[in-house]
Amino acid sequence: MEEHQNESIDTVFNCVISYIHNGADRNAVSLVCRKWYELDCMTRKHVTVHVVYLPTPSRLLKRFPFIESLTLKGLPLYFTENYSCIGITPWFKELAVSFKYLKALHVRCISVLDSDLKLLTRTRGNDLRVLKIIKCQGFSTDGLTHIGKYCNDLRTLCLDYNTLNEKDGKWVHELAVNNKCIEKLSFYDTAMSKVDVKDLTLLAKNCRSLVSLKLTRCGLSDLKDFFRTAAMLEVFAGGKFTGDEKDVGFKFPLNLHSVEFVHMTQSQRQFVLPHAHRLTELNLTYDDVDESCLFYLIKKCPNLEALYTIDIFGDRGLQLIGESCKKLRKLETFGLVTHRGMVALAQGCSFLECLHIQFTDISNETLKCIGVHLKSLRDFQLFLCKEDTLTKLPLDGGFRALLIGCSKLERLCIRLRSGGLTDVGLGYIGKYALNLRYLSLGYIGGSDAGLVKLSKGCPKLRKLEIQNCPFSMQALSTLMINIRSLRYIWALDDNFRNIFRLTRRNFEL
Amino acid sequence: MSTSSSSSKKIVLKSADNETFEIDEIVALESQAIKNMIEDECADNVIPLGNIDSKTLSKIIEYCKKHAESPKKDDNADIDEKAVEDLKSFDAEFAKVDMPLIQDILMAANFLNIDNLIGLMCRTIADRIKGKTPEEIRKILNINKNDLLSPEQEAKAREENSWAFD
Repeated sequence: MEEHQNESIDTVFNCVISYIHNGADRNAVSLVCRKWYELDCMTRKHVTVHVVYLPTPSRLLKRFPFIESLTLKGLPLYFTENYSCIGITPWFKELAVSFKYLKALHVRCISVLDSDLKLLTRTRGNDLRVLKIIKCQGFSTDGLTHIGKYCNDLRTLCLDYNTLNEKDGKWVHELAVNNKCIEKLSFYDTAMSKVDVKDLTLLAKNCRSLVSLKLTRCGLSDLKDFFRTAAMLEVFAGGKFTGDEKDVGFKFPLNLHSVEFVHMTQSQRQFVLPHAHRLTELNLTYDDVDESCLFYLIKKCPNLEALYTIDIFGDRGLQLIGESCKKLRKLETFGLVTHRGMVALAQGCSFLECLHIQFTDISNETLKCIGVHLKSLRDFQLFLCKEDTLTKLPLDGGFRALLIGCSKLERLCIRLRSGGLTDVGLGYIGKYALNLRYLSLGYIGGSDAGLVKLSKGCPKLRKLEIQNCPFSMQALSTLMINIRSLRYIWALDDNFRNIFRLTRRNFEL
Repeated sequence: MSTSSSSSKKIVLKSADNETFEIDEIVALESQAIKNMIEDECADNVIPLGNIDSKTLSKIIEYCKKHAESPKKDDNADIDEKAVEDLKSFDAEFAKVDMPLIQDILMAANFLNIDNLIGLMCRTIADRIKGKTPEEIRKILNINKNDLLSPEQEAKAREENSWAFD
């Protein structure tokens, strides 16, 4: 009978395992029993490794020999400034000979050398469909030329936010000549001025399925031929209006629905308008767009799901978004707003998942209102303007209501003024922020006693950053012990000087 | 038992506890395994299913009946959206049973090779263990404690899980 039961549970799990994709669920399943541990080992397709904790790949290869997608993460740059940067070499050496099923590789915040890229591309270039190297350093465009030469079946190449040595722009030419299937190419916010726009046009001609291009600032009129050729393009970032678009007959491609550019003036709205109704993402983070232009666009883009803008022009901007952009899921702005604008936004855009916003004054009522309306909020960043004198502190009660209401919250970043939260408020974060993974606190106030309360909760917290830190090192070290999921704590004083950095296990800086 | 249309061909299924179920052939054909048997002409009047009890079998027949009656997706591109919604809510209701029965249905669906039903049961189980701890999962699925990882193995796996492999 027992044997029958075992057999049946095996059959059940053999069927069910392919329906469990989430990493955390996979981790839980791997601990259920021996058979499941083994089955998970054989069937796990994606793994993220924090190389700080696992500097060489042998253990990974032993446990998950059949992974198809691998993400390798180092520590953020600011964390490693005085630390010899973690290198990727041992990993690429192993990838050269094993992990035969690997199709997607994502490397982040790690030092990568040209020789590493050469080895990787010559051994595995043909197998890779997705290659992302983001926030890395140590390589030059020579390394990228190897990618262009040998990664012939690559669909996605993402090189955003890297610090690299730009020798020339040959790599795009190699990519355009050797690859026929690139769908997404991106080198956003990576200093690259030597890329020839003719090579981008050639790439668009050879890779008919190109749907996304993100590059480092380039004149839109220079890209005229590229846009004409890339008929399937849906996503574009890195453009710059230079004023001669009309003269050269510039046009965005028909299917464009996500766009980022700078220097748009009233007369250039005509280039965006034909696409406005279709736009789901508008990124004006670096644009000095004026009020009338922004408001005009907001009204014309009812399908926006993401809006990034440096200024929102006060409560009127938020009210307008609340009225016009009912599908909005992401809003990031540095513009100053108050309670009134926030209420209008929360009532109008109930699908918001990510909100980064700055207040001139805020009340407990404002936070309660967010808790009531924004049930899907996962990422919330709140800055309180330093000059503010109207706000009545502390905001403990407001944050309690917000955390209870927004139970999906995974990232929380707050900058208040001293006294913004008391120990009671810190206790609320511990008690109610059950899904929080990242917490950044600045200018909040509170004492060690509050930190102890916080450390009794937050069961999923991985990263904690504290600016103008009021806590003792002793209390911070204790927190590391109490919250087992915590990967690092980073504390700064009022002048942004490091006062405390601690990562788990034997990796103290 | 069912006599919806007297003209259609009938198939009789017999459960492990010797209960018989007479169903329309079209309903039985939802099972790829039975379909193969019929096509290969190795099905007698009565098909014995010695590893499926009557409680499970009647649930499976309920599912197959509903799905056999519904218009198939590949038949017609502009298939009635209402029918799709109707089938969805039927599936959602159907899956609201306790875990032992879900597992029995999955086992039987696996044996009878009914793809949609396997998928439905797998999704249901996956949903129920989502976000749960290993201890909770053991309880939900009534896992035998004889096969646990040793404390050392578990500690090691747990350590790797939290720092390296998510």
